[in-house]
Amino acid sequence: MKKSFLGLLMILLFGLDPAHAQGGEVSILPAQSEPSAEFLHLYSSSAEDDTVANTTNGSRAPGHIGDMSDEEKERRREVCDREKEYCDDWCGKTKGGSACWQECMKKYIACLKAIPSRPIPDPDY
Amino acid sequence: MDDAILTTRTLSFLDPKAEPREVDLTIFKPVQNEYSQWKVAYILGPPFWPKVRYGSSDNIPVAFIYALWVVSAYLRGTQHYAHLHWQGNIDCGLPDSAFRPASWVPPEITPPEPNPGDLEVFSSSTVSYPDEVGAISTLPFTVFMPKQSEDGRWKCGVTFGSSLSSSIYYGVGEDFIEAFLDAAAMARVIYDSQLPAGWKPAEGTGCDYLPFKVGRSYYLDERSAR
Repeated sequence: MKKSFLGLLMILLFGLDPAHAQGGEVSILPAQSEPSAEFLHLYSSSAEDDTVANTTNGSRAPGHIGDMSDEEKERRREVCDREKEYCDDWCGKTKGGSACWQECMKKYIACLKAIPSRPIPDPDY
Repeated sequence: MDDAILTTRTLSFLDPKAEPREVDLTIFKPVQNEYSQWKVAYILGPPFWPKVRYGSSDNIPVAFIYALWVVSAYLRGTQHYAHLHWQGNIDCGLPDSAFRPASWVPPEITPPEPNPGDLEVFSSSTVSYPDEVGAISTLPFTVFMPKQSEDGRWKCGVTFGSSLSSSIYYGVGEDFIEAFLDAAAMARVIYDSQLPAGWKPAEGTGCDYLPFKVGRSYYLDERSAR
């Protein structure tokens, strides 16, 4: 379980599977040895079906991850936003250029898409 | 319209009571930061979260396309996603990423029109191509500001060569965004059709960052790095 979670985390953070990461695949993005605690929390909770979603007011809303509140979804998006800003800033400072920024953008989109959606039921036409 | 606003689009959806509702998507003009990176910001109106987000690139058209891609990715995670549309298009006329199928057929290119020489430029960049002796040269690539025609439709011009005198190819659409995406997709097809067989531009110097078109939908090619 722990191993599969780490694999998921690596893919979400770096677009790599653990085997690639251990094999030393070269990435133009910074080698973050320690993912932020916030990211660890987010992706550890999303790996479980019976997770409990945290809300911004500190309460815990029981239920499946698809029941995530709008506030919780937005909090996750804000984590994506911050990771993107960090990535962009790193590319700017290291003069990583077009390819580097492009990779930040792809990771950002993947991060946003990882936020689950449970659509409201079809309206009663 | 506010000077900072580039364009808007109104999306439609049904609320849980089957009442039709609308939401405005506002796209802001590109701004450049200290790293010469262009950012194109957007915001959605209620009932969506009131937060400005953006797409970014070293190239204005790409930053604009990426902003639309972010909107698409954001909407996917909302409870209204299944009931959203723009003019009946369930992808809201926004690009997403996909692998271009081998069976994909490029859309027909409309014939170019003479350059009036006074069109407003949206962005200027260059693309690479091999000259007669095989040396790599660069060619100006200009995207003009989409404009609404008298018939209500929108047109967006693109040209390879001089922005003042080279013939212009026009993309068309029902709004600024669709006309831009249509022109961008057409520019990619035109560029690819002019390259010698088997020749590929170096990373980031061609048009592979532009979307490809399927029906009325636009996709960023997963196979290209963008």
